[in-house]
Amino acid sequence: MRRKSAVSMSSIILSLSLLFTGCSSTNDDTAKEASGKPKEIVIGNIGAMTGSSATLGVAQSQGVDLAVKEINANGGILGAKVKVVKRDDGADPTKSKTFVEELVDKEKVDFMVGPTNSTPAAASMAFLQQNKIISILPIATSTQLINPNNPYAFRLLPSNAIQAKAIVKIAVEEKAKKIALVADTSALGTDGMSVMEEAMKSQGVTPAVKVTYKADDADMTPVAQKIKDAKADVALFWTLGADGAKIVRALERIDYINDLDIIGYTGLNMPNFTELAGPGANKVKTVTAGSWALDTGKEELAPKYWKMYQKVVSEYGEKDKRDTSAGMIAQAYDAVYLLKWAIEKAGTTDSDKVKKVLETDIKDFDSVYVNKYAFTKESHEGFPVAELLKVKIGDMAYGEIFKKAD
Amino acid sequence: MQEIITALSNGSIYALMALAIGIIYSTTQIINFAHGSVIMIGAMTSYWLLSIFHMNYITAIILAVIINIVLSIVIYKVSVEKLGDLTQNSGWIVTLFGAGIILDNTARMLFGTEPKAYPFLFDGKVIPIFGTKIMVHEIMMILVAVLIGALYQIVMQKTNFGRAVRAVSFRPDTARIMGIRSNRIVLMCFAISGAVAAISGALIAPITFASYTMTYSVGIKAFAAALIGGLGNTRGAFVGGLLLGLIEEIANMIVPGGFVDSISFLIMIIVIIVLPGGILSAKLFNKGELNAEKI
Repeated sequence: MRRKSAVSMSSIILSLSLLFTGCSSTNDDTAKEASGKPKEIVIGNIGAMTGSSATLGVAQSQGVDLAVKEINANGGILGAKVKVVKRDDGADPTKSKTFVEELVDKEKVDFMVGPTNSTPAAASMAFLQQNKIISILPIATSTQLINPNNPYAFRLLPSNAIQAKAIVKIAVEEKAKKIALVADTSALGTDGMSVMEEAMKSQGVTPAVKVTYKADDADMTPVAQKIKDAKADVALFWTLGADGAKIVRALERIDYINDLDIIGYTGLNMPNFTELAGPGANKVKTVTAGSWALDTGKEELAPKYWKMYQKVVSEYGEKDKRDTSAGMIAQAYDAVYLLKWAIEKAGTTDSDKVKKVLETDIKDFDSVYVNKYAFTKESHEGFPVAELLKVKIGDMAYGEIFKKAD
Repeated sequence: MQEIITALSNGSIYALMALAIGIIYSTTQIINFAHGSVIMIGAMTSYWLLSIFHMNYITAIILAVIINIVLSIVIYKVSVEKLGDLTQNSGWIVTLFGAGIILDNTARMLFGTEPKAYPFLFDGKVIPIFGTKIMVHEIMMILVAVLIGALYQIVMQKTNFGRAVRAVSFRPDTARIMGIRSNRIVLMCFAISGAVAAISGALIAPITFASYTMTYSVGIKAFAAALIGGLGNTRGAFVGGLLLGLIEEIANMIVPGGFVDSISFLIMIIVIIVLPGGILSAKLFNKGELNAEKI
């Protein structure tokens, strides 16, 4: 009897805590003048600022805040001040959807940056489209987020499909005999597994084993064991930083780390990976934006990217003081400036007009993350595929800037 | 061989956690819902002592044990003792859940949101055993759990304190009449549980990483292990813990990773339905023993 009441009470407590979490908000209306010129432009910033993906949300916030600070100091957008309304979804899709609804309905956001993680982004995407809110996704990579049903979503990072092709190509070029595919069971991982399989098929290669796990699982030894049992010589990781690091440590635990090369998608680039994975991180390669990778023998990036990096360091400190990735901060910074540029070019905050500018005139935007974004009317994938390069995760300058691999 | 060692080492940690839950349950009939958070505090504390103050492993663990003992006493004093007769109200569910949430939030503020790489014992050294290379840390997980379990059994069976615990567990009112100060015994059980939690945390953290969320899933498995084996006795904790470790390892071989927990908890539900008192409540394991003898 006591056990029954304990279970009921636990359910009530959990439900109430979720309810309270979803209810905190302020209720400021966005004022707009009758002329159509905005008095204030409100940008929603949503992402995982706590939990195992916290570095993503914090980096996004840092980039957004830095850009908005500069923009407001220089007269705003079309003369209007920019206001940011931030929400921490903790990478929880239910929370994310609730927050997005709150930001649109109560906070009257004009534009959105985020959510950071793919599963929360997928959960809130339909609502954003119904309300014609242009959403810039600086971090989420799930393939399905960008499709004709989401006409107001634009992505800055390479999609899962593009990354899968890149990492499979690297494995094949390195003459891997047995390739293990590793992904979690979330929407992100399922998508990752699917695009890796497609990329393998297009290269005429069959995976030696497909290993799935629950994201944030406490113990990844079974994942490592399955890779070992398959005698894989290369494992393609579709994992986030902390989970990927746990698998690397588990490979160490079962003494297989030295028999394996690991190639990961960009989620593995999370700053916590190198620290958590320990020496095993040296075995891991990934892909990244070429503009943010150092050429052999160079100590600085090309001038505009280096200037952005210096700006990040000056605002948030060196890598060891901020936990977040400077590249990721630059992506979010780009997201806000992209909106500013498109709004000013369109002369209005009207979603359809701003969308048209992003689709047709993107070559005029001066990015601090890539050379040129590649949006078209047909594709809202902004990352230029040719700028995706192979790098070694352990091989970094300043603790965060990759060196181009040979 | 590797699979067996993994099952045994993970199972041993579940057993240690279940033991700590059982220590409190045996004398109070309540489940310490803050236990996962106490384990986390033990792990985070020893991590910071190791990495910030560069203490050696043993000193860091001893200090973490002391801090956890104090913390568990505070939890008892604040969240349990004030409620009076625990058989008459269920307020402890809320107070202990609340204590766990407070600890989690405090840890997040103090230690940050990022997981930390907790070092393996003996720098992650591996040794060959029966043709397989096994990490010494895993062997230590098993040995430490067995040692603590055996030590706890000796204390329970051979010392006055152990007899008092068994008396409070079996007949709390009679024990009080006999002059045993039940509150003090319960307090000491909370302290022991906290100490065991600190050691469990230090052993599991190299695998889960040290973070304020590190015991969210493991903590629930500890409750599952305690229920599968039989709440409130050492053998039950070890039977439940090792069985859960074994079930997980077998499940890992036959189902995709995302379904393993479902299998584990399905088995827990079946065990609870068939044997509500856990596996050790089966007639096979109960030949004329009094409840007090099972602790």
